[in-house]
Amino acid sequence: MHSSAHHVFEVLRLVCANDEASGVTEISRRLSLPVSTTHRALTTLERTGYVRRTESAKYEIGNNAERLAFGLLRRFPIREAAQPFLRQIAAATDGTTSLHVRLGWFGIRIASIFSESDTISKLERLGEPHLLHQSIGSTVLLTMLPSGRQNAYRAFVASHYAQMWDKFADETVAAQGLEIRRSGFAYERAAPMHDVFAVPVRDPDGCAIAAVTVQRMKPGRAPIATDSQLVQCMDVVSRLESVVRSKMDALRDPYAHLDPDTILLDVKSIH
Amino acid sequence: MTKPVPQSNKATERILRVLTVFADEPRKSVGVTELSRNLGMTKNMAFRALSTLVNEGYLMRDPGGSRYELGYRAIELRNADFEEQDWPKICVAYMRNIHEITRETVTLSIRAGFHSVVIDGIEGRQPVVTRVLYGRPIPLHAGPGSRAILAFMADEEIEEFLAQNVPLAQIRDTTIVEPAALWDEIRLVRQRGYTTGYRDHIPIGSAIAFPVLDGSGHSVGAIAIGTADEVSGDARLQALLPALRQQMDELNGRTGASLSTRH
Repeated sequence: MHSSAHHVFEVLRLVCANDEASGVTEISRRLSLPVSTTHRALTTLERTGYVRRTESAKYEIGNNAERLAFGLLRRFPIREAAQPFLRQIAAATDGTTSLHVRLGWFGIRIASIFSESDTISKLERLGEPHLLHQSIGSTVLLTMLPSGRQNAYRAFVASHYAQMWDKFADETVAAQGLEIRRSGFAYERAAPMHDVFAVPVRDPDGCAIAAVTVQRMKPGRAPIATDSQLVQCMDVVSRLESVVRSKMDALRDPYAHLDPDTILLDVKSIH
Repeated sequence: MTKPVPQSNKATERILRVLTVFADEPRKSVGVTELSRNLGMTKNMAFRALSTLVNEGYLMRDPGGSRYELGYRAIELRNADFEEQDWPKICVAYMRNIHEITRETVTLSIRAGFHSVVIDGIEGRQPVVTRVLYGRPIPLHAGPGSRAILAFMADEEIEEFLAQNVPLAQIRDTTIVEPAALWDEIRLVRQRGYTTGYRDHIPIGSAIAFPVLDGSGHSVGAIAIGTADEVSGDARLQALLPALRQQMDELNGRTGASLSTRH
């Protein structure tokens, strides 16, 4: 193991994880590293564009780090293929329209088109992994999996993230699974003036390779099943599905060949 | 007591430079030989750097096992502000830096059909400066900002612009209106990476402009630096070119990373 490289990556991960820029002393203390080691790591990272030094001599994430994270999102070819469809949905619904994919047993929002309306919603952060049952977009991905794979997911959560599963999660997943299979969408009214619906993007086998969510700050008054914006969204998604069917090979998940049980990521509890 | 300036760690710096290759083209898989050749390091060095990056989870072997791809742990290299980028917003900080470097008027134009339109700007601090004129459509063949956008459009789009706009409007004596001459200008701009002012739109002063690029290397807009100093303006801007290029390369790295499709 290249230990000095490992320290440098530890420092990089901490700088990225911090919401505010942090100083050398604080980083040293949190990683239990000598100040000189931390300083050297930060200088290396700054010279290569992975961190940036602020005017107050603290360190924050640099361009090259963010470019790699964007690079990861761009590795999912569906992100690019779905762009024009997401734009149409955002224009038709006036809601924040997002695309979610599965990475191992995690859901990630990989793209969003923000509407022209004066308020927008960012419930989940772009690129932030969460367990599949933790948000409506990724629950769609979970419930469209064959039941054997769903059981494998439950076993994975039980062995690595047990504190993030409870009876409530069981009920929510079961209820949303029923709704998606019956009506082709999942729906949540988060607050009186805020709702979200999620629609799967299915491959020819009927599995969801992605999910589209629309978060609206001004939900319609009609019952959701007859909501014209939802109907338009489902119509656009079905056109996206025909693109998916015709280009399935080109749109494959770049991490599909990895065993999902080996992918462990830090998750924050949502809600 | 002043502390000695900390040294950078050369071996780790090399590892990080290897990783950066994957930021430029995240969908490509890379082999040891091409990597060592492109970065000017020995195969052994490249192999060790790749192995470290695989151990850290930032790279992985491709399904064939002989090449390397961006690994899923790259997702951790983001912070709380990570979001779909509004590219004109990314430009603002770089326009400010360019203004600090040049003290001249800096404008941001976007492409709107067959025109460019100035949507943002910072006026210079000299006694006489060129103005920022917002919202006025300028044909894509006239003025340095427009030409910077035109030169970095796809060839077929340029052909379409010509097909629909020839004969091109002769706005000033110096405006290039012959398609063949405009193609020569486009090739020159692509080679240099920037345009210079011919007073082909505004009849005074001098300017240079750089394209703002998406992930495929096509233009979405342009940043222009204009000076009213007719005597030594050109020479000053030329002298500042390396510093300006550095700003634009960094900016285009950011817009290129987030703008994967044509907007």
